[in-house]
Amino acid sequence: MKAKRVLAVLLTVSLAAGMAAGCGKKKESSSKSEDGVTELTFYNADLQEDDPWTDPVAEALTEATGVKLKTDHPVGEDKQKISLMIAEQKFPDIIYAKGDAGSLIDAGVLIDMTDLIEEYGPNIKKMYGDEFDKLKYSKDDPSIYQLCSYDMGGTKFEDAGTAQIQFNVLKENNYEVPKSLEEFEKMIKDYLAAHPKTEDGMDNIGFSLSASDWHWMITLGNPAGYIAEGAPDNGQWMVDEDGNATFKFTSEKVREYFKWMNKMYNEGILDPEFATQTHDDYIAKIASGRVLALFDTQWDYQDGEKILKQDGKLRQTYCGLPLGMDESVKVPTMMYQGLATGQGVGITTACEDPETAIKFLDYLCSDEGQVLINWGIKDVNYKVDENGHRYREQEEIDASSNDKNYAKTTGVGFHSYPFPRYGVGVEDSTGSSYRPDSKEEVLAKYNEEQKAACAAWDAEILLDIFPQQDEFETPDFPPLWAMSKPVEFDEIGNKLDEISQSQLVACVTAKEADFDKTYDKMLKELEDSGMNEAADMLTEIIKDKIEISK
Amino acid sequence: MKKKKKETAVKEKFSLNLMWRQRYLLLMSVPFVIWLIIFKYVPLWGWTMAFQEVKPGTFALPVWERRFVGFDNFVKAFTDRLFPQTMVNTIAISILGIAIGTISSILFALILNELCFTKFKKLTQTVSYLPHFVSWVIIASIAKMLFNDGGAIDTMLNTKLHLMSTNSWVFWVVVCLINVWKEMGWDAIIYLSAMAGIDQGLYEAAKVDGANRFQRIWHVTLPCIKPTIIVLLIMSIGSALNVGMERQMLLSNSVVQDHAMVLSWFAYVRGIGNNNYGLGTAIGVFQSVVGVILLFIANKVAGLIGEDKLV
Repeated sequence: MKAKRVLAVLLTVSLAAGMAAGCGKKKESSSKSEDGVTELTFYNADLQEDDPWTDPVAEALTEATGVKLKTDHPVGEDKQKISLMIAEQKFPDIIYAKGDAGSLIDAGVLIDMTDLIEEYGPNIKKMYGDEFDKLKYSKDDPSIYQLCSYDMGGTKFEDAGTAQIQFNVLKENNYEVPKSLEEFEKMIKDYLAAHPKTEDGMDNIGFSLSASDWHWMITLGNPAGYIAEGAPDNGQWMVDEDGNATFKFTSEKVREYFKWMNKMYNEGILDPEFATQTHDDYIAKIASGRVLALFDTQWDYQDGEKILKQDGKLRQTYCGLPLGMDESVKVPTMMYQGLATGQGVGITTACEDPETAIKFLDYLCSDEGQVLINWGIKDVNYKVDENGHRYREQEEIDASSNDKNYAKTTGVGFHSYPFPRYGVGVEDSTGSSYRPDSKEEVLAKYNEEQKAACAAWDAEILLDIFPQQDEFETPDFPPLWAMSKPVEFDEIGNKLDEISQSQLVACVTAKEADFDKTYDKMLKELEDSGMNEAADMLTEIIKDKIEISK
Repeated sequence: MKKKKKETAVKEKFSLNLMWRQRYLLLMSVPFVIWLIIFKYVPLWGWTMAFQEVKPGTFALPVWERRFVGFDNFVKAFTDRLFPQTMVNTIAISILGIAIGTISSILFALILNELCFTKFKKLTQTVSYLPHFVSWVIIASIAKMLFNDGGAIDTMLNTKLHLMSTNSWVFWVVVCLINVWKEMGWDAIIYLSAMAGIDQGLYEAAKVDGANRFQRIWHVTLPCIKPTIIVLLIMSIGSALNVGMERQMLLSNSVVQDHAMVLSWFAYVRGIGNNNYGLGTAIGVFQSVVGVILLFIANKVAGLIGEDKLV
C-alpha cells in the first residue's frame, strides 16, 4: 500500500514539474555573443528554404555590420504564421510579413522607424529619394513601419508579357505579334491543327491556367486587367484617373475577356483540367512542353521552364507577348508603378536593440551594401574593368542562370529580396549598375530562339515590341496589390477574392449559353458582400496616399 | 438473443465511507483529473473570446480590457454568405460518412471474420488498416492522381467522370469514399474484436438448428455486436460537426469549393485567415455546443430503443 501511495505522489509531482517546464517562458530575441556579433532573429514570409547565414556574402555582411541574421520562414501557407505569431505574442526582431503587415501594424507590433532613420539611416533616405514619403503609413499616422521590398526605380529588360507563347508557335506564324485575342486564338488553333502532338507524342494543350489556390490571381485575375483594360497591376482593383477604385471584374471589357476564356474552354483550347489541377500539376505540364501558351508571369512559371531549358527543349520555352484584347489596349506591363510600398521589412517591439537593426538595414541600402548583396564579392563573383564598371564573366553568368544552387552557395542575390534594393538598370555615381541583370547581361543570356525572335522583329531585346516605360506616367499612389490595408478592408477584400476565385472558375467552365447568367450571379454576390463599401474605403486610402506623397 | 436486463450489478450508493474505502483508487486518478482540468477545462476560458472583439490590435490586452460584444460574433458567423452552405455540407458529409463508414467497416469485419485461412486473414487486416496511419496530405495526392480530371480512373475508362470537378453532392460522396478507403480497416478492428468475443456455442447451436452461413451472420453475429455498433454510432454522432478540415482543404479545388467548405475550415478561414480571432472562436464554440447536444440526443434515442446507453 505504501509503495502505491509513494508512486501516486511521484506521478503527481512529475506531472506538475512537466507542466511547469512547459509553461516556462522562452524568449526569442537578440543576443550578443562574445565576439561582438549581434544575432537578430528575422522572419521572412517569402523564403522557401533555410538560410544558414554561412555563405560568403552573409559573412561579409556580418563583418561589415556586426549583425548575423537567424532567419525563420513559413512552412506551407504563410498566412497563418503571422496570425499565430499574434496569437502567441511572440515576434522576431525584424520581420517581413508580406501581405499581412496590416495586422501587425494593427497589433502595434511594428515600431515607427522615422526617428531611427533620421538618426542612423542616411543611406535609406538616399535610396528612396523623393519617394521616401511613400513609406509613410497614412496621413493620420505618418509613421514608417516598414521599408519596401520591391525595386526602387529602374526598368525592365525581361519578363513583361501579358501572355506567353512557345517559340514553336511563334516561328510557325513567322514571328507575327498578335494584336488581338482573335489573332492570338488563331495562332494557337492553327498550330494545334498542324501539330496535335508534341515530338515525344503527348497531346498539345492550347493554354493552361493555375487556379486551385492563390495562383488564380496571377493567371486568371491579373491578365484579365492587363489584356482587357490595359490596366496596371492593382490586385483585384482598378483605379480610374480621378483615383476612384472599382473591382476589376465589374468591368464590361473584363467580362468580355472571360467570355472569350469560356469560349476557349468549351472549344477545348483552354486546358479542360485547369480548374482541378494543383500548381504542381500545372508546372509539370509546362515542363513537359505540351502547353503552347500561358497567361502568367515569369516568376510563376519559371520552375517549369527551367526544366525545359535543362532538357534542351528551347523551342518549347516561352516568349512574352504584349497581348491586348484589341489594338486600342496599351499593354502596361513596362510601366513603373512607383515604389510598391506596403510590403517590406520592419522592426518589431520585441527587438531589444533597434539601433543595431536599423544600422544593419541602412548598410544594406548603402552603395557598398547594394553591390555586396546584388553582385557578391569583388574578384570572386564580379570584376571591375578599367573604367570602374562592374561586370561578370560569362562563366559566372552561366552559373547564375543554370546552377539552381548558385544563389544559396555564393550568397549572390540570396539576401537581397525582401530587403530594399534598386531596380534594374539604376546606376551609382560611377555609372555602374547596382544590379548585375543589366541589358548587356540579359542579351548575353539569350538563347538561339530568343535571338531569332529579336532578329525577326529587328529588335535589340525582346521587350522592344512592348509599349515602353517612358510612355507611361508613374501614378501618385503605390500599387494596390502591395499596399497594406486596414483589417476592416481585408475582411471584405478576402471575401471578394474568395467569391471571385470560385465564381470566375465557374464562369469559365460554364456552358457557353450559361456564361452571362453565371457572371451576373457573381456580380450580384460581390455586391451583396460589400464590394461597393470596400471600393469606397479603397478610394479614401488612395486619396490619403496621394496626399502623403505630395 | 434475449435482451440483457439492465443494471445487473448492484451499485453501491455514493457516500463518504465509500470514498474512504476507495481512497487509493481515487488518489491514483488524481493526476488524470488534473490533466483533464488543465488541458481540457482551463482552455475553455478562451471561449470568452467568442463574446469579445478580438483582432490583432486587441489580442494582447487582458481579457477584461477587451470590448465585450455579446453575441455579435455569432450573428456575424450565422449571417455569413458561406454559413448556410457550410452547415449543409458539414451535416451531409458527416451523415454520409457515418453511414457509409459504419456499413462498410461492419461488412469488412464480417468478411474477415468468416475467413478460415488465418494467415491470409491477418495479412489482409494489417494491409487494410495501414492507410489509417498515412497522413491526409499523401492520401489526398494519391486520391487526386486517381480521381482528378484526366487522372488514372478517367484514363483507364477513357471517359470524363468529373469526380472531383462536379460542384454538387458528388463531391461529398467522393470524399466519403476516400475516407472509407483510409479508415475502413482501422474501424473494422473494433468490430472484429467484438466478434471474437461471441460465444462459439451460439454458432454451434445455430448450426444444429440448420442455420446456413448467412443466417448465422444475420441471427448470431450481428445481434451480438449490436451494442458495440450503437456505442460507436453515439460517439460518432457526437462529433458529427467535427469534419476534419485538412481532408476537405486537400481534396478541394476552386470548382468544388462550395461543396467542400465545412465548419472547421470556415472557422479557420474567418478566424485565422481574416485575423478575427473572436469570430473564429465563436464558430468553434458553436460547433462544440451542437456536438454536445447531438451526443445527448443520440444517447437518449439509444436508451429509448432499449439499447445500452453510453453515458
